[in-house]
Amino acid sequence: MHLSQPYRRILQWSGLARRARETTTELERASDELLVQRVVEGDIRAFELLYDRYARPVFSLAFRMLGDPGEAEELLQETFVRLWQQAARYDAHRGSFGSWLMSIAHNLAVDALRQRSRRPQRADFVDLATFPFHDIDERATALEAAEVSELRDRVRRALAQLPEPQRQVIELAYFGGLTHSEIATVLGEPIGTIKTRLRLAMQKLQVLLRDHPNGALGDG
Amino acid sequence: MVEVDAPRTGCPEDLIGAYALGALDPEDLEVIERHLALCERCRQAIADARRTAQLLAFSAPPQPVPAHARRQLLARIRAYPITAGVRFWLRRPAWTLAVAASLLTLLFGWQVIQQRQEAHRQAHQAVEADAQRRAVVQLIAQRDGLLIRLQGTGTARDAHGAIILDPSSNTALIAVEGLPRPATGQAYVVWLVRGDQFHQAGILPVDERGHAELFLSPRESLRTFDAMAITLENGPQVSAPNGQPVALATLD
Repeated sequence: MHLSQPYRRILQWSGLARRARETTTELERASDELLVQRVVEGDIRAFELLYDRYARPVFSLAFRMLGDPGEAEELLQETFVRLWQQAARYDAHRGSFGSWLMSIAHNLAVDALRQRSRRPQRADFVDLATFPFHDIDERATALEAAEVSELRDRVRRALAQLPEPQRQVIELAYFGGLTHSEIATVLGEPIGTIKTRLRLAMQKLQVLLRDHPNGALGDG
Repeated sequence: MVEVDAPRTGCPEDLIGAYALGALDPEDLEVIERHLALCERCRQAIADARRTAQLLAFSAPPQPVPAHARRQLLARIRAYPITAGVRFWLRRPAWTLAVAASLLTLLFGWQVIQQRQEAHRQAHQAVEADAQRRAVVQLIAQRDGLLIRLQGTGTARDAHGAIILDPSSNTALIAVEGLPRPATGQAYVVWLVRGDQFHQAGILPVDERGHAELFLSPRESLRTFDAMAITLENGPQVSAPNGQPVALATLD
């Protein structure tokens, strides 16, 4: 059956019309995976719901790494633009949607750090002061995925259980975007020491978080 | 390449965690990637370490998100309209795209060779497409919800079709058939109506069969308008409707 593009759009939109009968409440209960599928089909409502669930962790990560609210906001938008453009690339068999999205944000942040060569000297260098925002997105706070909050607490507890030197190298590597040799320079330690410390830190973290595979995220 | 299960002592264990964190210097990166090509055990160890590394993203102290970020983002998203068809093809593996491209190349080559037959075929397809378009318009004209029926008036009383609204993307598609061709110099103008104000939304082009389609993506939210109207005007450059009303549909 050959139809001109505008009429293909009619058929597509007819599907949207049917979908419009689905209440927002029903969609809000949908899993991340279902919402991503809807985003692949061009559904902005589904996209907004994913934004509600993950805007805050993405923004928080970006701010933690870049230390600047404006840059963090740009990264937040760029992360979700990529979701809109590349949702079809998400493969549920390879991990949760939340982890996939956060990986996009982290990679963008590392690229930004490496491009501007303006990195914090220590992972706790960033001043986590109160934002001067006058227009806080309450939806992004209220509708943040419950699993995000729970996971945030678990990972923070796990990091707190590491010896301080191990936690420090993990944070310099992950949040500071530094390499082995750069961490060694910052801390004034031999590179071999840093390599061993990072290995031990990651092994301990894996043990502490073993019962929480990242597939636990994303059940909506 | 033959895969071996490398002995643990030969594995660069100190690099695995850093690899998962993206913290390797270029020379170490080269070492471990050469090793990973041969060692299934280390590939598995990397996968496990990467899962842990990904969880670190969630440990950042929670911060409030500025509300204007959502508005700006949605404005950007609307500038990236990707049709379902395109998204479908983007989901295909690269080899299927290559195959599709090859098939298209063959098809076009065949069409060049078969031009005379193609002319007949195209004529037949045009008739078939015309029937299909009529069927689609008939179909959507019977729908409700976001499909608003459009019935012509006056000299265009035989015209009928639908306005399809998608509030989520703030877009609308007008599809009409049975419209008389406007006289030279005249044009069908589409208006968005709010109260007693008429905002020109575009010109509705009509083909020789009386089919008309117009895709609208206004800056203002469609939810703020009460109705959509079509008038026949003496030229497209008009700031207010003065011509004959052709159709009117309420947008509630």
